Amino acid sequence: MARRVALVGVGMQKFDFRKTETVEEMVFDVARNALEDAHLQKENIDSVVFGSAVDAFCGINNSDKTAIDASTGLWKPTMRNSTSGSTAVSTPILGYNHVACGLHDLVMVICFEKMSENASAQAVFSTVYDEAFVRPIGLNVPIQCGLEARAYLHRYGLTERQMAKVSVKNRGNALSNPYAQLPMKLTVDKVLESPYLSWPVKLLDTSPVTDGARAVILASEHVARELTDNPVWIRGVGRGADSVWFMGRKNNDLGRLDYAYLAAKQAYDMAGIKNPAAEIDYAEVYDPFTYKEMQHCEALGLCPEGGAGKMIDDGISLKEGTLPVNASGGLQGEGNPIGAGMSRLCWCYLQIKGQAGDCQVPKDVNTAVCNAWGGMYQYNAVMVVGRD
Amino acid sequence: MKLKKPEMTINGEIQISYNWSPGKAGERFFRDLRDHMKIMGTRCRKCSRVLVPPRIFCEECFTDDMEWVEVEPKGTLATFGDCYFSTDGKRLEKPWILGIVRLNGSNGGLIHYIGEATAEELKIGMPMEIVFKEQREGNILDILYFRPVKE
Amino acid sequence: MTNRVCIVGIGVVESTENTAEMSHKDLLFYATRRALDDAGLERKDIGGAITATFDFLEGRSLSNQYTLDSIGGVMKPCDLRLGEDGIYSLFAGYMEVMVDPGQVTVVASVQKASERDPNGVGYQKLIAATLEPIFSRPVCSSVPNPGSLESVLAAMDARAYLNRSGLTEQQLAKVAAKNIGNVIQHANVSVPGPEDILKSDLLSWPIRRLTSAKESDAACTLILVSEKKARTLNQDPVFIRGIGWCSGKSFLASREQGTAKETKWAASQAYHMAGIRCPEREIDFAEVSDWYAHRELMHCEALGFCGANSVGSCLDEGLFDRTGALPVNASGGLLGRGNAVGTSGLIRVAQVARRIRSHNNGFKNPRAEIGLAHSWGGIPTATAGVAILGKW
Repeated sequence: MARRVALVGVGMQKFDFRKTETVEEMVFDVARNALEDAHLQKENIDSVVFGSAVDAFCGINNSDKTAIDASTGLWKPTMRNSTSGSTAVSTPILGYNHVACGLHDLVMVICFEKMSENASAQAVFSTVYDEAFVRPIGLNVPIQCGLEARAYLHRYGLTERQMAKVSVKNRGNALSNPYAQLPMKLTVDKVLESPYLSWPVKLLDTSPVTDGARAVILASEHVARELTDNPVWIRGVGRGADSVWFMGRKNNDLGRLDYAYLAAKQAYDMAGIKNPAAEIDYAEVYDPFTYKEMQHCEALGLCPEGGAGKMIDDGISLKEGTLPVNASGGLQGEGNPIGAGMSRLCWCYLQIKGQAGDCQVPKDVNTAVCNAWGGMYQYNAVMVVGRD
Repeated sequence: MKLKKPEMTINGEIQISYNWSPGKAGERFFRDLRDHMKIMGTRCRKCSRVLVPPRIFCEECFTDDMEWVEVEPKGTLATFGDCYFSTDGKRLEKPWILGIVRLNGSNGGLIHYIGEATAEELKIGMPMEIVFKEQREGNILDILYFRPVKE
Repeated sequence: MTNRVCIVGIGVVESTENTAEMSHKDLLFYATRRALDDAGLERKDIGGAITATFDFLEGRSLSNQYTLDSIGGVMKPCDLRLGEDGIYSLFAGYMEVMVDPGQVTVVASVQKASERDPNGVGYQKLIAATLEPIFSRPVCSSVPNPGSLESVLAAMDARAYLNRSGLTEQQLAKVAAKNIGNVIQHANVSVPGPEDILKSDLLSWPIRRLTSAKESDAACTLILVSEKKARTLNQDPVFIRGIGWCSGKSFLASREQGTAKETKWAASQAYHMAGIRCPEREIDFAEVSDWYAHRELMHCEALGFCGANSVGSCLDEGLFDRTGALPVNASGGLLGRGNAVGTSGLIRVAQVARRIRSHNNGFKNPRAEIGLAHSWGGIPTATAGVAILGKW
C-alpha cells in the first residue's frame, strides 16, 4: 500500500530572462531555500529527484549531474526525470513515488531550466521533433500551437477575445508576485493587437523564455507530523500520455486533450474528488499559451468541457473569483522555465499554507490542483494537494 | 559480428551555439586569472575547506558563507593520461597529456594539459605548477598547462 | 513482506541481430513484444511505462517521448521518462509497483549507437558536452585529438587506480580475456588470452582497444508486477530483493581519483534492503560494469566481493571466472558483448534475471539464486546503480 506523502517546504527564486548564475548555482539557491522553509538540514534529505526538460537548452548533457553537489544529493540516490513541459509535475510525482513506496522519508525535488544561454530557444525546440517525418518540415512551437488552438476554438466555438482575457488576468496577477519575470498591466484590446505568431496565437498569448529553478521537499507521514501540525498532503496524482504521433491520434482531434482527462481522472479518483468544480478551492493550471489554460481548466473539470470561455467571461478564475486560477501569474506572468514550471505546485502549497503573500486569494484554500503539459503535445501530469 | 550498413539514412546533427554564464563564482575567478594571473578559491567559513574551482557554496556544510582566498598556482598531480594518436590515426611524435592537479591548500582540483614533460617523467603525487598564457581572455584556457616544478 | 516486486517478462534485442535495419522505435518494439510474450501479457494489461534514455546520445531532445508508442504506453495511467542509465528505469518501476501493486509496469531503454557519428568522434564530443562548460569543458573540447578524449579520461582514472591498488596491466588484460572468452565459449573460435589483449592498440596507457568496451546497439524491456499478480502468470518470477543508486561529485577534477565510492554507496543501500551482510558469500554471481577492464576490478572491490583479500589475488585465483565461486560477467560483460551506453544497465538486470531463471542456455550454475546487476554511468559522470535479484 502506498504511504501518505506530504509537502513540507518549497524553495523559490526570482525568474529572469537571463540569470548570471550557473545551473549549479541556481540549484543551490532553491535547495537551500527549501531546506530553510522546511527547517531541515542537508543531512536530513534521503534522496533527490531532478526535473529538467531539455538538456539542449543549457547545452549540458545530463545537466542535473553538474548540480549534484548543490542539490543536497551528494553521495545519495539522485534520479532525473524529463517529460518536457510536464516535467514540472511528473517530477514531483516521481518524488512522491520515492516516499510512497517506502524507500525514502525525505525527498528533495528540484526542477530547473536555463534557457537563455543557447542561440535560439526555438532552434532547441526544433530538436524535439521526429527527424524523419517532422523535423525537416520545419515545424515549430508557435505553428504547432496554432494547429492545436485552431482545432480547439473550432471544436468548442471559443474566441480569441476569451483567450486574451486569460493573458490579461495572468500577467496582471503576476504584479503581486515577487518572483515574477513578466508582470504586466494589460487590456484585452492590447493583447488582441499584439502580432500573430500563428492564428489564433498572438505574442501576448504566449509565455516568455526563462531561467529559473524551484524545489519542494516531500516527506513521509511520520516525518511530516514531526515537522508540522498541519501538513499539506499530496492527495492525488495522475499521468496520461497519448501517442507521440500527434498527426494521427485515436480521437482525431487536436482540440480535445484525451490524455489530460485521463490524468485528471486518476488524480481525482485517488483524492476521492467527485465534483472538482465544487471541491477544488484553488488551481494552478499550466498556461504556456492562453488557450492551454482554457483547455486544461476543462480537462481538470474546473468548468464543463467547452466551458472555459464562459469561465473567464464570468470572472470565475479571477483572483477574487470563486475558483481562482493562477493567482501567481502562471507561466504567462511568472515566467516559463519549462521544468521549473513546478512553481505551479509551489503556489498551490503556498496558497494552502496562507503564505502566498500578495498573491493570496481572498478565500479559504484547503484543496488545490495543479497540472503540467508537455511531451510531443501529448502528456499531462496532475497533482491534487490539500489538508486532511 | 559485422553490422550491415542501412541502405537509407536521414542525416542530421544538433548544432546549437551557447553563451554560458561563468556563474557568480566563475566570474570572479576568471577576472582575477585574466587580470592578475591569480588563482582564487573560496573558503567555507564553517569547515575551512578551500574550493578550487571556486563555488559560491560549500557542498559539505551547505552554506554560502564563503570568503575569497588566493591559492598558490602550484599543486600535486592526482592523475594523468596521455594520447599517442592524431585524429586520423597516425602515431604522434609527441603525445599530449591531460592531468588533474590538486592545488596546494585547496580541496578539489583542475583538469588541464600537462606540458614540458613526457609521460615517463610524470608520477602521481609529484609537485606541479601552472604556466599562464601571455594573452589572457578570461577563461580556463588562460592557463596554458601544468608542468612539473623545476628543482 | 506481502508486496514484493518481480520481473516476469524479459525482452532484449542486441546487436547480434541486424539492428542497423531497425529504427530505435523498432528495436524497442521488438524488445517489448518479446517481454510481453515472455510474460504472457498483452498491451491491454500494461498499466505504466517508464523509459530511460539520454537526449544527446540520441541526437534528439526529449528522446524518450518517441519510445512511448513502442512500449505500449499510449493512454496508460503512468508514464515517466528518465534522463538516466537504463537500470534507473528498474528503480522507478519498482517504486511504481510498490505504490500501486495492481500495476503492470513496463521499464525499457534503447540505444542506437550505430546511428551516431559515422566518423567516430561523436561519442567523444558527447563526453565533452557532459562536462560543465566553465572549468572543465573548454580544456577537454580543445584537445589536439578529440577522438581520444574518452580513452585519455579513462586512462586518468585507471592510472590513479593502478597506482593506488598496485594492480598491473597484465591483470587488466586478464579481465578482458575472461569476459571476451565468456562470450565465445561455445563458438568455434579461438579465445584470446591476456597476451593477445596486451597486443591490442594502446589508446592511452593503460587503456587498450580490447580493454575498453565497444559501443553497440541494443534495446531492453522488462515487465514488473507485484508478487500477487506474478502468481497469476505462467512464469517463474524473479524477485527484486534490493536496489540502490548514488551520485558522486559533479566536478570531474574534484573527485578522489581511482575510486568507485558511488558504487560502494549504491551497493550498501541495496545490500541493506536485501538483508545481505556478507556479499562475497551471499551473492552467487554478478554482472558488473566492465566498460573498461580496470572498472570491473574497481567495482568488484566496491561491491565487497573480495572480503579481506585484494581484488588482484581474487582475480588471479579465478574467483570471478565462470567456474569460480563468484562468477563476474559470465555473460561476457560489456567487453565481450559491447556497450549500448545507457541501455546496458538494464540489460545487465535482464542477464541476471535470465540466469536466475536458468533460461540462459548452457549457463546452468548449481547455485544461481541471488545475483547482482551493477551499472556505472561512465566517464565523466559519477553515478552507479545496483540491483539484487533472487529466486525468492
